[in-house]
Amino acid sequence: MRLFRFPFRAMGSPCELQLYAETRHQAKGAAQRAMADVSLLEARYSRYRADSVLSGINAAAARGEPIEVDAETAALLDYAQTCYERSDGLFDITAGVLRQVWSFGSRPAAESGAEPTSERGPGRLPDPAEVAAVLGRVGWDKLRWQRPRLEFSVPGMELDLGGIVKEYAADRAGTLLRDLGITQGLVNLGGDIRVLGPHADGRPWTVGIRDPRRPACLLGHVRVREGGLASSGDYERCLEIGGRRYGHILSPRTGWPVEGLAAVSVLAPTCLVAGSAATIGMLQGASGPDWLAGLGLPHLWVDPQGCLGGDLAGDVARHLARNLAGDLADDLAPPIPTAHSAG
Amino acid sequence: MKQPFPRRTASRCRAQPKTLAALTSAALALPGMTSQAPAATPATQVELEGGLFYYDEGPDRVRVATVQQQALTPVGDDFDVKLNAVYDAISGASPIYNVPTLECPGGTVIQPNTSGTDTVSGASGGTSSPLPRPLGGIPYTQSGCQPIGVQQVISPTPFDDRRVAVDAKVNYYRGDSTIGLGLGISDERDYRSNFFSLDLRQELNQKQTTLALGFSLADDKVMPVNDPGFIGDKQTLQYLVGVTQILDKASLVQVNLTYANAAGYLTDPYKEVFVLESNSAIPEQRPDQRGQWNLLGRYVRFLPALDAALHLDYRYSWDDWGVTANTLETSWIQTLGQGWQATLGVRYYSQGEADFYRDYFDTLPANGAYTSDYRLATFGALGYRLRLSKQVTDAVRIDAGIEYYDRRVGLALNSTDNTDAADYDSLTFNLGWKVSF
Repeated sequence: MRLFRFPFRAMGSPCELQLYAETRHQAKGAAQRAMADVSLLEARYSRYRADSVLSGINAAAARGEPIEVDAETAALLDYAQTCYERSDGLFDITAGVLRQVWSFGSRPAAESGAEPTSERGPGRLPDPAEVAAVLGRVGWDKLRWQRPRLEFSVPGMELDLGGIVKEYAADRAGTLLRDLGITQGLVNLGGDIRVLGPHADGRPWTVGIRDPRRPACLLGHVRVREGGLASSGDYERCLEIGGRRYGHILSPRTGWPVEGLAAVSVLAPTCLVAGSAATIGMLQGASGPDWLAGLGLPHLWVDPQGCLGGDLAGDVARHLARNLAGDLADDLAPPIPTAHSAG
Repeated sequence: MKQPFPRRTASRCRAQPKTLAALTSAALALPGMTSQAPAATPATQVELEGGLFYYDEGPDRVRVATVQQQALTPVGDDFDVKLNAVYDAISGASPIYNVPTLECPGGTVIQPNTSGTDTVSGASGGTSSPLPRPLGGIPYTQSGCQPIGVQQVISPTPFDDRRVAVDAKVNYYRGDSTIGLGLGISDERDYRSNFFSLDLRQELNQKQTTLALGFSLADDKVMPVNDPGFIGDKQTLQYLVGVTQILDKASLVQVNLTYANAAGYLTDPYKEVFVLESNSAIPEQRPDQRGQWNLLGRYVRFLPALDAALHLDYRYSWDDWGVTANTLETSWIQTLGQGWQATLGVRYYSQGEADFYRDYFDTLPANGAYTSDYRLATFGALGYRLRLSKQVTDAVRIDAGIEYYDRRVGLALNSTDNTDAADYDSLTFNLGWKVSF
């Protein structure tokens, strides 16, 4: 068995497949099908494409007209509804319209998988009145969702499946690859990772966790044998005004950035659940650590002071210690920040 | 490592396992999240599956009640074992042969009197079965009478039998290969069968293609109740080669070719033929060898937009008895939500008669092969099937079904003058359950 790597770009992010196979031909055939499936989902659910299913829904939403959706979209909406209900309304796919008043530029230093930021602009804080006006068009509870029919109680709403589809695509690519006989390897779509199975020699994959304050650096590593790993953080885009940092994760309740955590990573059987849990953990703000601990999935959080917590924190800390000792021969050996010095 | 936040409090933790379960189940409901083409792997849990069946051909004909129970269990990492037991209670009466209605010179119609039995022995008709009255002592061939219709003679003594069958199958999984070994017996008062099977399945081409090879051997003994002391032996060898190809994540095609060779006593000891020349019914007789080919083509398509699946099957079979048959079957499997699933199926079957089939015989053929068994005649049939199943919990599924089968000579593709006296219809009801541990 040999390891083959296939870097590509999709969903506005750098992506990669790492697959173990007997021959390059086998790996390439499987990789091409997986990449085609990712492109297919991107074409269906991108809000940047006028011909996407999502744009069709948003066109209806802008007019406030009802629309019937296909089974896959219906399952995505069901999933979004579950997230909304289970997060007490924090995870809300209608919150995207808040971008109309908030413009977060990419951090110049960030080389992360940020989506193309069409709304990039000069940093300024929105007028609270503007935010309040937009909030009138935010809220899953303003939708009437009865499979397969979606109705909007106010015009001008907008759905954004960006927080779901990339993770879903990673899982689907993983399932597809497994069906094609690739049982060892991983799918990485802009940091949302689905591990098919360990390295050929049985070693788990070593996945680096990005430092939220220094996006070019890694905090350490998490070892993953199988399943999904996803992270959410405010490092991708933010505003810094008057020495104060405003992260791009906006609360659908207030319309303002949530405070409390800088980044969350979650390990779950699927990348989709890992991603949603990480997002909800971030949205919970200061109560995120409690919520994550109660959820029962292995996780890691970093607070604005750079302190680590969660049951994977020990794992990361051990790797940090080993890195310091210089005995870790991983291919992703990072510059070494320590948790306490970062703050 | 120091914790910057206070220690976890239990207050928010109670509802969280439910949150994980809700997110996980909503995630797994998305298309493509779970495998469409799971690799052949041993069973991972114990499964018990059972069913009750009731088959009814209508008043005065055959009824069968069946109880079935099956258990599947993993053994170690590479094996699984399936045990299956069936109990049938069969009762009723079946057709034995046909007699013609004759119109004779002078306009008299002779209706052979099939109820005026001379003697009856045995439970299921027999060699001394009811004879029609002679045609005034004159052989038909000299009487100038013409047949104007055909009537079926049903066994006057209903039979009642029990069948018990058990079989076991072991599968061994090794990488992309699976080897299966099966053994079984079936026992009833007048029939005993022992069988053995061996099959190999090989996944190729990144599991997109599955090649199957199969072999089975059945050794049967017939001990007719109407012929004490006689034992008929029959061996059947069957070979299968098949290919299943996954076309894309929503469809597959399958082609199977089967050849079966049966040798020995292939006659039905309870069937007779009516011979006009002698005005008598005598036991049927079939060749002692039969080679039978069967070609199956299958297309399965999952329709995600409708949350449904379409199955389309076509079978063509032919044998050296001259019997050819076409079967076209389609079923629609619709997921209804909340664990409910409905299956609607329609099947069309058309068969051309065996070379040695006649409704009745003027004279006995010289080659010594003759039958009037309606199952070897030309006929067509339509079957309609409805099944409802409900996944009650993650572990328990129950289902109920009904099937109507309508056999009509007039439905055959081939034109024929075979009698429609043998037409009948039947209803089958079934109730099933499956429990996984």
